[in-house]
Amino acid sequence: MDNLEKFIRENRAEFDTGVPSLDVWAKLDQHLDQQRPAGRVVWMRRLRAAAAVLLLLMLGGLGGAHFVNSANNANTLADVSPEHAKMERELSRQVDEKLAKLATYKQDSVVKEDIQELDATYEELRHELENAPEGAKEKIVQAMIETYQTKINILQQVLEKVEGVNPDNIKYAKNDEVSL
Amino acid sequence: MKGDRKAQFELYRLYSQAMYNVCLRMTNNSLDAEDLLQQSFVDVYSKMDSFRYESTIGAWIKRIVVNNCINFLKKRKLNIETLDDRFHHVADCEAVDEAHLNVKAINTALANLPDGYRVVFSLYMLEGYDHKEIGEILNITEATSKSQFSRARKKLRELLEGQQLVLVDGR
Repeated sequence: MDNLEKFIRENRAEFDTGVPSLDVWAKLDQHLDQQRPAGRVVWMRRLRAAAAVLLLLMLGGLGGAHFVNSANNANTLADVSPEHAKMERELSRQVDEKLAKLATYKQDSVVKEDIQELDATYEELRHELENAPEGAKEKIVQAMIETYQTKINILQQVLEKVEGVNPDNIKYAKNDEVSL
Repeated sequence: MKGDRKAQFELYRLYSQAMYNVCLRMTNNSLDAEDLLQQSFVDVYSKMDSFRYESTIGAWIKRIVVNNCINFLKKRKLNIETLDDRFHHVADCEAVDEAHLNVKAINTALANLPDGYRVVFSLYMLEGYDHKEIGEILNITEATSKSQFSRARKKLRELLEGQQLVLVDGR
């Protein structure tokens, strides 16, 4: 190795002095907006479709359904049965755990809106459960559980994404020397 | 999902400067370098799902950047092939006068090299590829890469010591 090679290798980091203008990210950001992936939109649409189907089923069931005394009606998952109460605790524990994990990445705000929408869906279902005929209850309970599971799935996906590009989890070498 | 944008920015934040300098050395022009940087990150994001941890993410991104730069130069008729290959053996290079060994002078000399020389020299000395890989990247033989490098090295020394340098793009 001659003295030029030696000098360059020893001072490699100092050769990267150029700095790209801020415009580059601005243009990238804009470009990404235009080709925005439909990920979130897709599952929200699916959830809405599921809710619509549920509503139709309920309305269909109303014709022959007996209306039961609403005093006995369960209006949260936990009130349905001890098993459901246990399940709800477990599901909400999973949600909390993932939210806590996500918070360490300072990325928790990105799913806030999704989670809020799911919470609203849950509330609606809860309300429907209150006035639902016996026959439709099981389906509503099922939908409430699915709401929880969707929430957990979203959090899981976001966690995988942020962990995938977290500098602690990738073998990132400063100055990025390609060892061969 | 919206989380993607933050992750994308994080990736950009980590690698954009190093990758911009790769583009700058390859193209010798800051506007072209910025265009290529932007285009390369678009490619990185769209290919993210195909990243398989076979290399570091930095090496993977760098390869995308380098390929884009080479394609760009080819469109502008970068002619590595025409730099003839008659002299495979190039005498060992003489040492460079220590007085000329500083980063700024080397960068300026590098910017004054012909495209073919500059690309091979940069890929080997600064981007860390070996001659076999440079052969694959440029679609030339390993021997051609070696002889190009030796000649680039010789020319660089002349430029450094001759000091007949024209500042290219402020460097």
